[in-house]
Amino acid sequence: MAGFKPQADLPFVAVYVAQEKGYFHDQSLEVEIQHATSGEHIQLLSTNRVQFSTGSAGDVMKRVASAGVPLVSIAQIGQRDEQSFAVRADSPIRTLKDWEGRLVGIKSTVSADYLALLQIGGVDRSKVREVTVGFDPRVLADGRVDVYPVFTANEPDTLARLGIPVRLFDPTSLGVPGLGLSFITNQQMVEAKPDVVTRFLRASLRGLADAIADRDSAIDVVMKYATGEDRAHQRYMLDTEIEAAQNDLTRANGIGAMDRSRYVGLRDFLLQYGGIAKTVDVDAVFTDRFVKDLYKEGRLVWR
Amino acid sequence: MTARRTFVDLAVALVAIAGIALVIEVWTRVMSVPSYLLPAPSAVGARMAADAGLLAREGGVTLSEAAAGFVLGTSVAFVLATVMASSRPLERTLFPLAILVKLTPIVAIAPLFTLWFGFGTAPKVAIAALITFFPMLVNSFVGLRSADLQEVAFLETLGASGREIFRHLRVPSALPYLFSGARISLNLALIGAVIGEWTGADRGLGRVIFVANANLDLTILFGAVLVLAAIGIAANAFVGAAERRLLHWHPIAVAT
Repeated sequence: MAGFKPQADLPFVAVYVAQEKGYFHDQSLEVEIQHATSGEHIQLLSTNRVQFSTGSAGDVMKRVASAGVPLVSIAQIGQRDEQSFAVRADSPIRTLKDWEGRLVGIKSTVSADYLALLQIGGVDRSKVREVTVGFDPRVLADGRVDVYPVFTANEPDTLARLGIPVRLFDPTSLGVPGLGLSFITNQQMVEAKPDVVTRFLRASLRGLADAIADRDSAIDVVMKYATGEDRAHQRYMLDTEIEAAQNDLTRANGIGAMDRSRYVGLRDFLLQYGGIAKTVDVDAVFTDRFVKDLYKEGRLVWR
Repeated sequence: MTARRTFVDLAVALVAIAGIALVIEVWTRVMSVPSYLLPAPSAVGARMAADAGLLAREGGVTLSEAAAGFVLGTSVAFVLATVMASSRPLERTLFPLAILVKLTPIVAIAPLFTLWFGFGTAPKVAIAALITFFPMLVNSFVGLRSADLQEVAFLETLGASGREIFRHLRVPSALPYLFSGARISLNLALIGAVIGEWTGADRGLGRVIFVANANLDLTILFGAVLVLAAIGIAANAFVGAAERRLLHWHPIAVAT
């Protein structure tokens, strides 16, 4: 299992808790947790040097579409887009249309979410001033941009701690068909070792259920891995991601549930707004066969 | 003789590079290595040809930022080295500060430069300047202090002023060190500009590399890296030529 830095992002909380409580051991799995800060885990996953990681459903599609990386989403943890656009709470910007004439930060490249929001809000892009800002939210705190793209789970809290409360334009609430983090593996694991995939997910999803039931204890576990991080900030992340992991689909089918129509919608949306250059076979980038087998009437079956 | 030696050196380097590229080409083809892990050199070459205009434009942006940072950083370093070379107390005061600058992890503080200097070229130039500062400071300082003390004493007996000694003895004595510092600093300036572009830019090779890495598009990533290397080699060749021209009287010019 490998992924970005140790923090309370929900798939990793699930794995941390499962590891600490011995759920992997109970499933006859020996799991080593590693972190990579620059996205190397995707390449490591593609070559089966790691077997599981996390990634947003959209990123998985992009990597399959653009580079042919053999990734598969196997459980959808984040049921909402993981990014939003923030303005300072005292900003006169109230609607998307108000973005016209304002300076909007772009994190690396113009995202499909951003373009979709402009269309939804009837915004004339030629009237928006765009600037590439990198990954430091202080540019919003400092007033260097009027609108800044944030990771909803952590950056609003980071800004609030700087004394800059923000309001969010949330793409999911505004009708953009985004999805958040999922557990991912590679095609080789799905085809050659489906039993390992099932046992890994069973243990992880039990860890996740425990984390939701007892968040304080889950943060205790997170802090063992995320040394040096701020506990209250990690709790903010956990609370935000738990909220984003639950909707009608998961209430009926369990956390991690997947809906093919949402992946089709996401793919079509990415194609429409240039998020991917060519289409991808949705059935090759996600499978709900594992998660479906793990739940009965919305409850995780432990065996 | 010099032209022949240059030709031979170039030929040897090209043969070595071609040999390494051939090994990688064969390896990637035989082992069917996916391009998102290691692209074949032929694929990188084809991509560079297809995107030659892009790489040239973005390379020009990075080069201009690096050049501005180089001029700024080395100029400040030379002035500071002159001050330090003229006064032991100032040397003892300023040198620890210079080491502090040297030990500061540029990658960690690079985002702050955007907050301090805005989104334009300024933060990239500032980072390039900062990273070039220390090598030139040390080389300038040692160079200015390297003047032969007997020659200094001789000029003083002739009534030469401190400024005249600085201009006619200390600076010429320091030139080999200055060129050595320039060689190091030029390449560092390129790296500094790229780091600056990583932290928030809409132009430059650093941005090309950043976006390519995010998209696992390694053909353009390696293409940008090769362009960066080519700029670095050209810059070094330029400094070498200037060194040979200005230091034709010095043994070092024969050796380079």
